[in-house]
Amino acid sequence: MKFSIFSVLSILALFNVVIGAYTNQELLDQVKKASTKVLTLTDKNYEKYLNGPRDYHVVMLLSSQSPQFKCPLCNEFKPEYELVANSWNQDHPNGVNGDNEKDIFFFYSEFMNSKDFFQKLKLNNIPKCFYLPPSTISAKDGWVTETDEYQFFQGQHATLIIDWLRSVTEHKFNLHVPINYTRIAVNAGITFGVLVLAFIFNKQVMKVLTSKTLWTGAAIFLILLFNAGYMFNQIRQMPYVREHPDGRVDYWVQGQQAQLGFETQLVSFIYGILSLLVLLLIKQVPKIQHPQVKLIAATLVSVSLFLGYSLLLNFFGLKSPGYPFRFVKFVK
Amino acid sequence: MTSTTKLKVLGINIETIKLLLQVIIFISIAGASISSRLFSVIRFESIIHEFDPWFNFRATKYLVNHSFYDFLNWFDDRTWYPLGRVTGGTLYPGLMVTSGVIWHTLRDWFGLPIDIRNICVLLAPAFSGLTAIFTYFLTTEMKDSNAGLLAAIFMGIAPGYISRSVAGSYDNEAIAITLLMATFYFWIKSMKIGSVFYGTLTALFYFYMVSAWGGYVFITNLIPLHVFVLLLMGRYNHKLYTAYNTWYAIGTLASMQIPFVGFLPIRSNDHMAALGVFGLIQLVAFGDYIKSRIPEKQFKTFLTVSMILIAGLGIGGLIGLTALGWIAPWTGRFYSLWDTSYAKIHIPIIASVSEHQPTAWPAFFFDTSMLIWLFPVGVYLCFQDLKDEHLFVIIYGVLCSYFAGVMVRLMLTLTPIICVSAAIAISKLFDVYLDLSEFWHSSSSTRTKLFTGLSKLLVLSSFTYYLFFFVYHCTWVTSNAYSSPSVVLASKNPDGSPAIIDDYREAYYWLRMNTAEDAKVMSWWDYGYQIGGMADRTTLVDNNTWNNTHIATVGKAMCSSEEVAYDILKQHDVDYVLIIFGGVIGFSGDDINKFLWMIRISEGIWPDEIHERDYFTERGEYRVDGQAPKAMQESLMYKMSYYRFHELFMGRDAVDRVRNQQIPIQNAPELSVLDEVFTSTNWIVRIYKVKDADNLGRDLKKASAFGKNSKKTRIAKKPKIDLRE
Repeated sequence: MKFSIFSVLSILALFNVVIGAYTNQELLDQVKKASTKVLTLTDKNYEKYLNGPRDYHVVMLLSSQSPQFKCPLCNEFKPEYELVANSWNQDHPNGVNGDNEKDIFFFYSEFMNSKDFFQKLKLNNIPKCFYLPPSTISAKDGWVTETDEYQFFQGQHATLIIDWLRSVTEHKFNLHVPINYTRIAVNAGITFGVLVLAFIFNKQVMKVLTSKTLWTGAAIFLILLFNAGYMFNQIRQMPYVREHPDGRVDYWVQGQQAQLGFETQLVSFIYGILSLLVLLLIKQVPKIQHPQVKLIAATLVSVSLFLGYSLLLNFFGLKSPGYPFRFVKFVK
Repeated sequence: MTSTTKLKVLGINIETIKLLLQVIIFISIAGASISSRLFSVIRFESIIHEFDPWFNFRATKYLVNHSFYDFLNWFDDRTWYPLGRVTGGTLYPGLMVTSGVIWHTLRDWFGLPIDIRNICVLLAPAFSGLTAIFTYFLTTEMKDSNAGLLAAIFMGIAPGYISRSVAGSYDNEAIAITLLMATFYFWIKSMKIGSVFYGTLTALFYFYMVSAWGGYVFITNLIPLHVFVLLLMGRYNHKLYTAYNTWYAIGTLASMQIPFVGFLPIRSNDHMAALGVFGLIQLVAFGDYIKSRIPEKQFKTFLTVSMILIAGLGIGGLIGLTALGWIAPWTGRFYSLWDTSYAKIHIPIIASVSEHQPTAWPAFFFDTSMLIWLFPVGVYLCFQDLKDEHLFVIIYGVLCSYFAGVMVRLMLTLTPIICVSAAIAISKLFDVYLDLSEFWHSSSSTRTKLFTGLSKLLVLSSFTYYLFFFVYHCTWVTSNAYSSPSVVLASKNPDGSPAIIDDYREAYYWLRMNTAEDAKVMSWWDYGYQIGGMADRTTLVDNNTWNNTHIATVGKAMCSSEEVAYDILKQHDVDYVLIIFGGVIGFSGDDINKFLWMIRISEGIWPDEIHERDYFTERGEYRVDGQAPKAMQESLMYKMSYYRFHELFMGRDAVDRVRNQQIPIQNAPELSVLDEVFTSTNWIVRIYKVKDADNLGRDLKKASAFGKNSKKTRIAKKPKIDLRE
């Protein structure tokens, strides 16, 4: 089924090459029929779509969803691009009806299906987003010279695309984010469920909520996490460890203003152990009645504390090379 | 009670000895905390540090030379040219007024005419002694005076606090931390005993804090949060009611007297928590009263109905007021605290300030050493007792850990609570192990005594060792990391002897002595305060950053071509352009490294004319060498930085020591709209004079090309550094 439609389309496309570009109305019909409002460009049909003269604006995204490229920006960008296209279509289901204004059509091209097309534009990286103005040039491949490239920036892609399109097409754009009803329903369901459960088991819930141990644990856990630079990892999106192409793995990086995800875990673990040992000294060791056992316990805890602290100092010394203090030198 | 015999040592009452010891310890702590902050004064001289302190210093000078009312009405026409700045209404006057009062007191009452600069330089160390004392009082409320003394010494020398309070770092934080601790101490005290007197003191110190530092919002939210948690836990009592209402009513009214704060306390969302809790505590008090009057069953109905009613009203009101625009939307700084990507996208100027960067773990350890792992122990011990005041430590600890992780400069507010918690932990340990009473009157055998004694000795000696080490760590960190004035750079000669790089002051002094008094100097905003303070010249933008567009204008002038830049320079009456260039000696904090921010900020205002992408190579690299993109090579900043740079290399390719890139000789930039007038010894500061329009009406490029051809040989002489006649 899929194959047949495709072949029919391609035959049609081949047929049409001779005649020239689509008219505005033909494209509008295509968009109306299509399930997504973004038309697909492939090696077979791009000439038909792009060769002039054109009576409409063309916006095209050249990208790939293929996993072999490992392109996070591609995956990030495409939905936002489609959102802009759909919003445009929602506002103008029958095209713009002004006299001097031209329609805009959105295209998407997947690299796996359109290698020649990408070659024609001499692309060596993706994603790329181009704009083609209405044109009277009817020469073959005349459109190549008319491309206006979109600059990728950090930020909300959809609004950035709209800003760009507004400047090149001088059309007004609105963004219609479709309301995700299932998500609202699921959220409402979960909230309701939780409330009902809380009401039914209110005694148990209150017990948990008023449990001192729980709150103590949570507070100390949070403190250990934050003081070991957890927020740094979150904000800078640091990798857990750093892998080199030759297979070596770095678990830490030098420098006081840098760290990897693993470091946070290690350091909060060390802090936790050290705190625990001090607590043992304060709370548990004095309770031991037998004097010899008490001495052994105190010695054990003190020595572990000493070793733990030296480990921390060694690690800190690795991070900041100028630091002169160590108790025991584990590493140079 | 039976009468207890008073203990006497050498015929002196034990209490007297205790008091004497405490006083001696306090004096020592103050001495230690002050002296460890004097490294920079001893090594360099009594000088104001960095950037912001230069503005505070200039404002203080204005205050002591004019009257207090003149100061509050101060319109500064020497900054933000041509806009000017309503300085009196846009600063926190607490710091300047404090130094002004000290200056007047010393001069008028004691007959000691001390230079205002010395007071400004030494204000922070002096206040650090006070901070230690207030920390003592606060910790004493939490545990006892033993813990208090430990907390005081920790606070005195912890690098996290020293980083902002060394001699010469004359910034708002210098007195703000003292006031923070004072406010918190009085709050705990008033909350514990329900005293209107202490509540009023809390409010007064809060007022002082509001007048001194924008971070007062931290107190404004922490105290209500503390009260809120207490209410949730059902720990409402009349003491709490008294303390909170006294603080809130007086504190809010007082804080509104500061011109810069004005009506914020009742309009901005930062202050809404305090207002909300104020309302809540009235309701709780009312409910408490009703409960004592009617049977329990009726009270339950009453509670449910009123809860629903209040929740509905409250949420509706908040939405309504925000929609009507009566209460301000959340400010940008507040957003960057919660959603850190917000600032990056919307406000490049916030992202460009290094103080807003997140904190990596070494910074925590660096600033607090072993206290960081004693901190959780202290929090645990607070949970064990869990009195009302302990909750305060816990909330403060958890909340501030988060904030310090998000923004490196908030380490400053985390440090006090780390000191308090760690002191609680260590003093608890010492309570257990220093208790030697069993050796005196217990019937246990010598063997038992020996083993117990040994275990105690072991633990005590190891912790004494750690404490000694803590002092070493703090002193090392203070001396090596936090004591450089950053106006003067310390360096080493090839033979290892210390060398001082004094380019900044050389250049600012040149400006002061060689340029017209009303000359306008354009530079990137980082140097605005220093130019105002040291060179006493009018600047276009400075570290106040209140007008993003104006900063973007300067950025645009720096990153566009000579023709575009010349128009901007002329439109803004600029006489001189000052840049920082580190390529000769390898100083990495120079303008080429900050250049991207200039581009980004100006792109935010002129997205059509400036494109960040144009300043990167095809492969997305930031280069200044032969492969540098056209926009880069044509930008005014690039040209000013590398102008005549090749002459240092005798006509060969020049090497930029910061970026380790070679600039080919054919890329040597030509300048036609600016004249080089001054370059400091190590080339760090370069000053250019803006040329006047050509006499014959040619554009400047043609004029300078003509001049160059006619002369044939260019005289390359170093500009004069002599004084103006």
